[in-house]
Amino acid sequence: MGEVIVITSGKGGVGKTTTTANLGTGLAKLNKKVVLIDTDIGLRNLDVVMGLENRIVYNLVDVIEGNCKLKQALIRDKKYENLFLLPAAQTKDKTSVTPEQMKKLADELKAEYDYVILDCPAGIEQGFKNAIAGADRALVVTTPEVSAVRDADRIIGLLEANEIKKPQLIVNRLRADMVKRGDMMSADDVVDILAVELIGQVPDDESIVVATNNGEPLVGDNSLAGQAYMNICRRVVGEQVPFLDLDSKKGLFSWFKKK
Amino acid sequence: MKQLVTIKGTKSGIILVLDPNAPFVMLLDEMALRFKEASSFLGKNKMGLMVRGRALTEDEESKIVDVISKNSDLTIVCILQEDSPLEERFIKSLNNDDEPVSAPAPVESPQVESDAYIEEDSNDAVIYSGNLRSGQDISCKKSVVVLGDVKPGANVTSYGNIFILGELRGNAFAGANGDRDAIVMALDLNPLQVRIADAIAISPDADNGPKLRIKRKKARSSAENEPEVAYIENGHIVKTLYGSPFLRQFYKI
Repeated sequence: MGEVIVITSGKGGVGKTTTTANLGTGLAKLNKKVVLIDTDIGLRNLDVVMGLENRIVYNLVDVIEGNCKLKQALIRDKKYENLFLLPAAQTKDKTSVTPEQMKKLADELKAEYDYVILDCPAGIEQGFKNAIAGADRALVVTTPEVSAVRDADRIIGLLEANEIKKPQLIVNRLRADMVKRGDMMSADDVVDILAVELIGQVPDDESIVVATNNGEPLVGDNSLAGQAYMNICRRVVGEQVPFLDLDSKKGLFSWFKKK
Repeated sequence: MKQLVTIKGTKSGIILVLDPNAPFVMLLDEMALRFKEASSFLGKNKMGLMVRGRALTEDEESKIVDVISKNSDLTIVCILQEDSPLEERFIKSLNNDDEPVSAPAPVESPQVESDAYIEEDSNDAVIYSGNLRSGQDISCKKSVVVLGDVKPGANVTSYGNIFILGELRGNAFAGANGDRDAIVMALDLNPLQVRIADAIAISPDADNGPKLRIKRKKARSSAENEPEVAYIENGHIVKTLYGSPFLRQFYKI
């Protein structure tokens, strides 16, 4: 029996979809059987970030409405054959799916896959309710900005009210230099405010933008962000992994500068 | 309580805002009352009538006109669609104050909506002018001509052929009813997916997505833009330049 994980944030643009893509790919690298579900009906993105946009024939709404079989709508990843994507519909809206239907779908998938990862839309409306309906576990993504942290706080409250206990936190887009100068909250500062367990901290990294545009998640490569995402995957499957020193790259740089 | 009937005035006539849920007979009664009250204010004028909030049958329309002429001194010249060319013509003719308005031939425009099939079946084409963006679909039994671009995430579906006088970067599905002779033509054929009848072709995966895309753009702007066409050959969808060699081969012209 697998586990259903929802990736959520409240605020938009903090990296839910990027995190979902990298987490899914990373777990597949760890030889887990993974299915990603894009629940952002009407504004789908996950297929683009995964580079699978051209393979879409059926989507989530088709499955829910019974226009196709679940197996027909699942798109196999280009590289990892134990990774699948269930894309969102683009022409419908969030109301074409109910939380009950999502829960049923998640339960069905979790019988067959190790991890079912749901990419949640921004906001706290129907789309959010759909996404969290079947979830066993939640990862809350935030950036070290007051607005994102405020929204994350609200989301954590809503998750707990919906019986998803102990959400875990990913602090995205950290900039070690700014944290050092005291111009940005550190991951620890964010954890202090939100009072939840930290499961990952991801640096602001140009290679994320490149990877996203190429449609290939960078998890596990040499970039700092790639390593950070791989560490999150390890922690998700239960390993104890120490947090990266996000300043290491900077350290090397300044070492060169000094010479 | 919410008003069942609201009367508004515009430069070309009056707008009736009708409650969508109330029974029609109740609306008629309410209308009679309101026009009686307002008849002195409205005076003796020729006017056009627009109806909002409710789709009406012709029968219902004529009943409304009856009620208005009985209860006021207005003459309803015609029933207008809001923002239609007819309204413009009506405004013009009001200013000229002569010859009656006649409707121009109705323009059939394809519906841009998900899964909206237009119930037409003949061999001619529907023309859609404008770009189709992500989430916009055209579905049509006729052939389709798009005067604009089809962006990624947009779908064009037709039982017949599809001609895109612009870029095709989204999805196109020609011969959706099983016609394997259908074609998809575009000035720049660069789609995510093309489907013809039961065949499907997907775009090659970009190895260096954005870089490649940027390069292609540059190359294109300098070179001549050659229209391209996708069709079925030996059961597979192939893409070629749209020109006389293709036409000779495909249509045996």
